[in-house]
Amino acid sequence: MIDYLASGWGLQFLSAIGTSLTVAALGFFFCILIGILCTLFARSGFRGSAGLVSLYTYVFRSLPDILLLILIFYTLDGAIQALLHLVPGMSGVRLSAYVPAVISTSIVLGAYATELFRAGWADIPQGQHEAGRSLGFTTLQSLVLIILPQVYRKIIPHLGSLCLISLKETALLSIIGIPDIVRTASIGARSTGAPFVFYGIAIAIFVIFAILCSRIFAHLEQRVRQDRAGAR
Amino acid sequence: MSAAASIPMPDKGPIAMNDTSHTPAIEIVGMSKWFGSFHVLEDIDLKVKQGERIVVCGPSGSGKSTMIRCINGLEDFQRGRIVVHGQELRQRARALDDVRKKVGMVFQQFNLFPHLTVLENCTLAQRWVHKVPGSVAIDIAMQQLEKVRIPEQAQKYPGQLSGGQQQRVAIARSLCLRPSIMLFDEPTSSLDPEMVREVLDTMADLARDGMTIICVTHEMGFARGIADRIVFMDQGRIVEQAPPAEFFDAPREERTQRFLEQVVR
Amino acid sequence: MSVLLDYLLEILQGLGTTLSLFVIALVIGFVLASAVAAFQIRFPGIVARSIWSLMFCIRGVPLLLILYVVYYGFPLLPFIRETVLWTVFASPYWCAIICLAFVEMAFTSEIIRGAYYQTPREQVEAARSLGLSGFQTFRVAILPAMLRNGFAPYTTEVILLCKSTALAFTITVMDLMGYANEIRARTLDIYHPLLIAGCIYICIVVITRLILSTLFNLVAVGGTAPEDRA
Ligand SMILES: Nc1ncnc2c1ncn2[C@@H]1O[C@H](COP(=O)(O)OP(=O)(O)OP(=O)(O)O)[C@@H](O)[C@H]1O
Ligand SMILES: [Mg+2]
Repeated sequence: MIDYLASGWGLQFLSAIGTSLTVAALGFFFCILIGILCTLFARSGFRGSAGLVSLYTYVFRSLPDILLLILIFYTLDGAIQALLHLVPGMSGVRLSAYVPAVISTSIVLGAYATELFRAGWADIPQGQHEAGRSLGFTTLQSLVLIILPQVYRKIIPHLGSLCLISLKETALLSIIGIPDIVRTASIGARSTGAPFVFYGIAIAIFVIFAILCSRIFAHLEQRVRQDRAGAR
Repeated sequence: MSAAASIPMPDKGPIAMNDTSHTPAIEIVGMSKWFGSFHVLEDIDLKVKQGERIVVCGPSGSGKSTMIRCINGLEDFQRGRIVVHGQELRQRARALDDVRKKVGMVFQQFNLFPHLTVLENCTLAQRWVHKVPGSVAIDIAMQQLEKVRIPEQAQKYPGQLSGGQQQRVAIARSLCLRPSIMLFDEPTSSLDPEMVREVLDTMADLARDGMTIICVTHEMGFARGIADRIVFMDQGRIVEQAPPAEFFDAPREERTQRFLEQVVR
Repeated sequence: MSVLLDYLLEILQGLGTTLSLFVIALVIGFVLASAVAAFQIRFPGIVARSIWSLMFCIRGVPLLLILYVVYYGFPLLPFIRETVLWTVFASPYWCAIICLAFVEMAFTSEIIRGAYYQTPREQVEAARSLGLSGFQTFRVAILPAMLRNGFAPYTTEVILLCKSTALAFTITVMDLMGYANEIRARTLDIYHPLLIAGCIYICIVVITRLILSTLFNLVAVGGTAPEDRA
């Protein structure tokens, strides 16, 4: 195993980990943003806004992720390259495949995040919004200082699984040709004839990440638990 | 309620003298409100002088909560006007923010922020709404917590306090913004009986300091001891308003008499 | 229009494969998960904790990677290549079922465990105090509570499994996704084949939800299916 890692595959894996983690982190960040924005939109009271958001989450949680990824990835890729074409002087430039990869991952994960935030939000008593308003907070202040921290507290355990799903979701990018951990492992397995070393390394990376993820979120949960200690 | 007898009648003299300005604290004129097709408030007229203490009572569903929520802009209304300290209140106007800075509100369910300590609950609005510097905000908060007699709980979270303590924190939180009017919506209704007293005492202290108060409550003893005027509502209308002595001992309206027979035994 | 119909008919050839992957993996996964969860609950200790850790690790690894290991890796192992096992692992279809059931076991066993530990202790004690035996207690007090607590997360998990079957095409199984992807590669038409396949998947999910909530209402004594969220 050390031999393989020393003979260049080590670097390959490092860069693959970098790729996967970057896409996962960006996807996690953007899907939470999507979750918050969709929840706000659904609660905004615009005619049909709640229905539209429900449609988004229902459809996107019913379709296979790989199908959505392929669909969004190629659509976005085409659209972005076409847009670049329109900008003068940019016609020769090709945008890296990472941009559509991150966007499509975010949109798919955004459906899960939206569902999470909507459920957490619905648990916040109406009185909290009213207390905020009667103390004179603006809508934005009340959102950031009062509502979001409470939603966060309610959904931390689920955020942990969402974080893990983000990384697992990046495995699908290997199908689209992005050199992530899974793709690197399967190329290595095929070209060296030692599949178990390469698959083993990939599995180890994911397991380590899963452990880290659960530790971190257990710690975060512990930290916000204090305000509930002795709650009646 | 037995608490009534022990609550001293506030000294009304200096307040009458202080009341030099002619603008009333609150003026509601011909206000009507509908929830869909349901007429919740019908043609409400109410004038509250500065430093006056009003107790609102009436059967459940009569629109008491809705009325005082309108004064704080938590609900909008369709007809009539509400003027607070000379500022006309209209939904979605700048005026609303100004009015909210002068009007504090205490809810039946306390509505403390569970993720913040008692002290942070009291400083949050000061710092973000009134832009008070941190150390000053803490001083003011501690001052108000002392006033409601729970400075030692400052570092605890609301979930660790009893209902009565939570409600007193909620009062302190409002007082930190130095409101000139306080609205109370059944502040003792979700408390265990032994905690009602401590909250009523806190409110009596406020009354003694000359705060303008509108309080929805079913504590008739408290109303008798503290109020300058009692407003009786039924089915979205103000049926009768009178000083406590007159209200309890010689109610004019037949509806009021029936209500009093039910609550005061 | 007729092109779309052609696509639809071609993709529908994969429907049977998708459905059988889904149902067989679901059943095997559930049986394994019940066994695993029952063992963990019945014999708490170091072994149970090791099993839990193993399940945790499986949940952390992407299904795609597991598929690759089983389909591309296992055939290189002599004890698979040279024994009767080879008849199973030579088929991408059975490899897919094994992987799906394996992952399903890891997720479902945790749902069952969670549902068990959410059962209020008082109910168990009440049943015991009435003189019911261990199994009767389980039947009367624990199982209904587990059904109630576990229904929503299990529905979510079943839907996830249904979606996961689409990954089987990466190891050359010709399911709905396999046919759609083949048309895409052949015609370079991305939208139509994938959207058609998507519609079929949505139909499957809608019907699955319906079946699950009907089953739940039949089995659960009193109380209705709780709102499925998360
Ligand atoms: N958001 C709302 N939408 C529709 N109807 C409402 C709404 N809020 C209150 N109502 C109705 O308006 C009427 C007055 O309600 P309100 O809460 O003001 O009564 P109340 O006098 O405070 O009663 P209680 O003593 O029970 O608190 C009630 O009949 C109530 O059902
Ligand atoms: Mg009320």
